Amino acid sequence: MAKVRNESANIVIVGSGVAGSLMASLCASLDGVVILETGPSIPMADPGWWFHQVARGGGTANTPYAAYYDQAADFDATGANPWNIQGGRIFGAGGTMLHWGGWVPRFKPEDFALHTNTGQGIDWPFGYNQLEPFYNQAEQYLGASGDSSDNNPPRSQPYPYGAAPYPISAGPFIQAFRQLNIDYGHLPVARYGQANDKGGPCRTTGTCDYCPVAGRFTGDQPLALLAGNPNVSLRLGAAVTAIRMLSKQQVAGVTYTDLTSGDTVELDAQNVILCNGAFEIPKLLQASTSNFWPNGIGNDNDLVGRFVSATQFFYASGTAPNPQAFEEELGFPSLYSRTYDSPECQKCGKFFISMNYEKPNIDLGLLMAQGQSISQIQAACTAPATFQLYGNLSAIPQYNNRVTCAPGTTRFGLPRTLINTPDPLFNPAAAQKYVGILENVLLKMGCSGVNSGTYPQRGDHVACTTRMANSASDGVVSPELQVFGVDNLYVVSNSVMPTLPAANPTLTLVALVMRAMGSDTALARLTKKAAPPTA
Amino acid sequence: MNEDQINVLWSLFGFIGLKWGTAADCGMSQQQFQQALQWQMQRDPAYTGYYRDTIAEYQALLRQYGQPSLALAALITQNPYSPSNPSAVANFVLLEFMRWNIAFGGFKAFGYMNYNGWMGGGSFLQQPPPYRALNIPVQNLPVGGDHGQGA
Repeated sequence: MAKVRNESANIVIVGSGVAGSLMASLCASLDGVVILETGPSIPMADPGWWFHQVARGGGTANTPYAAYYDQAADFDATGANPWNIQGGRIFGAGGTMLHWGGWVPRFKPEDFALHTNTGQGIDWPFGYNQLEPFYNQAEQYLGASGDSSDNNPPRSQPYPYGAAPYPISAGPFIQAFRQLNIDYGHLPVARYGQANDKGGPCRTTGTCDYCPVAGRFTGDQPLALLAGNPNVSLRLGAAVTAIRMLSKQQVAGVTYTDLTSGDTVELDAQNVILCNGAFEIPKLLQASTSNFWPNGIGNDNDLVGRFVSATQFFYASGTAPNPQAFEEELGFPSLYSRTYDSPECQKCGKFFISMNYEKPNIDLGLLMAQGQSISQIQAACTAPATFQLYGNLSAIPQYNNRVTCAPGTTRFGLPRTLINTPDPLFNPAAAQKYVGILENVLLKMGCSGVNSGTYPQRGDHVACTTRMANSASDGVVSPELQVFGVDNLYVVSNSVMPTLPAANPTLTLVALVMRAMGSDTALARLTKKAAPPTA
Repeated sequence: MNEDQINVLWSLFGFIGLKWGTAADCGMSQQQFQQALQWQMQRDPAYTGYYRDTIAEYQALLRQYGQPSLALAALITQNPYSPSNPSAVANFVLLEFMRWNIAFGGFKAFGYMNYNGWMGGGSFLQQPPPYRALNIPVQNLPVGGDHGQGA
């Protein structure tokens, strides 16, 4: 029979993805660190699952984490282009970092001054130069491979690992880029160029959705290093439903449902760090109402959950002769362009272009299974093939776009999610222009049958829902990642980003943590000398 | 499954390599193959049935044709994969064996240097890299002409 349990901890970390596992690592020398993760443990780098994935032709659908995505019943979406977040995030130890592609570009200097440059949104409380040293640290932490001679944006230290040489299939794209005066470079990725203490080295297997050797940074790797550390405990199946307050300024702890026993656990804590993502953090703050915070914690200015942003993906595809049998041989991203991810493009929306490294693709085993002969398969290898480009379009921060709780509870014991986006996330004219550029590249490559489009908004890179600002009138979280008005509540998530540029945000999130640790902030002091547990 | 049953499946795996000319390049050992079968059955017990169905069908064909090679050829011919074919033999056994055959080196028979699932390549930082890389400076790429260095 379910009961109420009263327990205590020193530091409670809610969520175990890239942010939660990083914060746990930083706090690991302290007593009484508890990580609360609503999902289960998910086997990674498991040879049996890997054989299965190869047998089924790859893809995220054939991984053990596929069972822990949002389902249609878990959310409502309203607005002009309702989101469909199935497949966008993972509930489990390691979080959405289990399925990320490991793209780790830095944001660019102009990304920190969107308001100054365009009148949209707000500026970040600090600029690129202030964050640059911490980007170096973040690249070390994530095991980034990149081209250290690429100074767009400027960098002061080399990548920990070199960039993978372009695969032969990048040649036609590079030619077309050169003809069209489009710059290009090596897309930095979190692939260990050699073994480190978390994983790797990458063996270029191309099965990056489920790496057999942990050669791609994933959120479970830091957790594995913490296993056996008596200071840190990971509680799975712990659905946090409220943050309890002692006073307006002091958190008392959190309340969670133990999904195994059904018990309600009142877990007191000296400090609480929210790392449970840009959907769940605003919902949890909103749901945590009290006499001190009648509209939810940090929500006196009605900003929690607003400005929800995500990356909008576009593509263009075409068919071209393939006499050299180009195929997905490198197996992870390598070629990108930031020509349109530039200050000149900021007002209408910045665009980050990458080659789809998965194309051309030929499933030789499938052709065999379909009964094709050796000569038929050989012909298929050099038959005209599909080439594709992707583009990420930066998000427009919109006040009316908001995440809140919807009625009902998910299978993970959390409130269902309502994503209301009445205002457009991107400029359609800009999208049309950029997709036209992608098509032009493909035409220059000699492609025929060129087509293009976008995808339903899956909430990839969801951000900005508890944005960071210099004052509570503009945001929810301080530049030190502390919820305004609360002494012992922190947010470490993409949700703190004031705006979401075109580039992928995870590296910047880690850099934000490194920055907060690198100065005399409350969060840095917390990780160095937290008070002992009260019981 | 007993040893005889596993041996039937291993002979099927070997026949795939012979039929498509990938046997010399495929490096999957019998021990790896047997372990892979065990993992599939542990992860999803339905695989035990898929494998037994395959063996039963092979044995029926062996009785019909009299020779293992003819029975194996017929097993493959009679179970082509297609999205509309519900046969577990086609979908969960033959297709999967063929993909293992390719990933464990069979792809080389078709001229490729690397392929998804190939564990033998090594680090992308080694020289030369374990895949076909652009090996001329990109600034020297011809504009509007041939591109790349061939398979």
